[in-house]
Amino acid sequence: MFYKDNSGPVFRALLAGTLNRAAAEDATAEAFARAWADWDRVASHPNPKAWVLRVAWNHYRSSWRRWEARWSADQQVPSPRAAESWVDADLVAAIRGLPKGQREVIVLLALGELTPTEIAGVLGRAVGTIGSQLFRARMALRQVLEDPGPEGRDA
Amino acid sequence: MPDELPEELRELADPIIQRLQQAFAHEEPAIELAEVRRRAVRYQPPPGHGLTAADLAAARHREPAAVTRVYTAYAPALFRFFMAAVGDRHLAEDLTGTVFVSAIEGLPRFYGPVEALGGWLFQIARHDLYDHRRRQARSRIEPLEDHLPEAAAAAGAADPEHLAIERLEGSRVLAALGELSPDQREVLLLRMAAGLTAPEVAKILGKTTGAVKALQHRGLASLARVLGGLRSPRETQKRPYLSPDPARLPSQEEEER
Repeated sequence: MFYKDNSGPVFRALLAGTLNRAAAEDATAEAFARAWADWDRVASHPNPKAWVLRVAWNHYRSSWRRWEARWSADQQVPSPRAAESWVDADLVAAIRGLPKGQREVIVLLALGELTPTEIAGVLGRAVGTIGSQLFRARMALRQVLEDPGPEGRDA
Repeated sequence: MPDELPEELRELADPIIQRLQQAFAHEEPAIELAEVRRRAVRYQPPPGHGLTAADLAAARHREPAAVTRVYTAYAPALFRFFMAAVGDRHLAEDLTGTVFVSAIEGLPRFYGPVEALGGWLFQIARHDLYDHRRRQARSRIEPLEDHLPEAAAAAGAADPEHLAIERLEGSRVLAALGELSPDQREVLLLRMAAGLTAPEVAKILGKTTGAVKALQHRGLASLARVLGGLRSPRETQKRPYLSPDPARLPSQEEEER
């Protein structure tokens, strides 16, 4: 079944890309709802999962973050991150430190299980750009995660 | 050994990528399928959704099936626009029909691409609305307030992306719209009720996209001020999908295809 088979990768890519569980769930639900409402088009698409990821990504970019920023600027909403405890906190901190473009590309590859060509379609960037962002993201993560830093890696 | 792998698999064999995958491997979305279905039912595609260049070409030659497709693709948005503007269901239906009569007559002279069709139809709609208001001003028709609740219900039209209209008292929203400047009101009608993108609205009104966004921003701010209560952070977190979609770019619908 389409939802059961694909919601995991879509959600995980969104979660790692946004580091915001509520936003990732909202975008995932919205994208699969649109796929459902427009199933004929999605079914004839060469890669329905990439279609859903693109819709989810656009939904997140266009609605959630902007409004969240506006509300929180006005209301001092407690950041949802505070409550979240990640399995691999070092890695999450490293992803958070990446420039947005690089982060998007690496999570779509690793967790969305898309090829660079598909990622280029999802994000509306050139394949060459995707390749270089991917390279830089891996370099940056490697540097942060594999270099123990001045205080060393304890235990 | 990794060198023999195809390039894409080589990337996946990267320890960093694997660590990323492990870190999120156990994550599953806590979304009920019923929630997806509920949203699917409520989802309203943007105006013009699914219309192709071939449909437009056929509609120019007044092929009934193609004209019907154009009608189906734009009638809900036009209706919402008129409904929010005049507040009377029958009148909104009439005005929507009038737009299509003019459109069918005018289509052979419309040379734009199918993406420009919405802007063109709403230009006609706006013109018809002004005509209507001129006539109304002459004949002093009944006050708008009589129709407000129904109007707001239709203007909200079960669309989760269009403002938070539906969960508010309808009359308050339309009354609040009445307090905006004409510029702001028109932008909000076209953006929120009709569901057009900012660049589409800019073209219809002969303004820049930046000016439209600024008017929209100020209009929404005034609306929120008038309505109060709208800015409850708890509500927002609970129901994020009620957010309007002010940043939808012209390419977005295209991208979704």
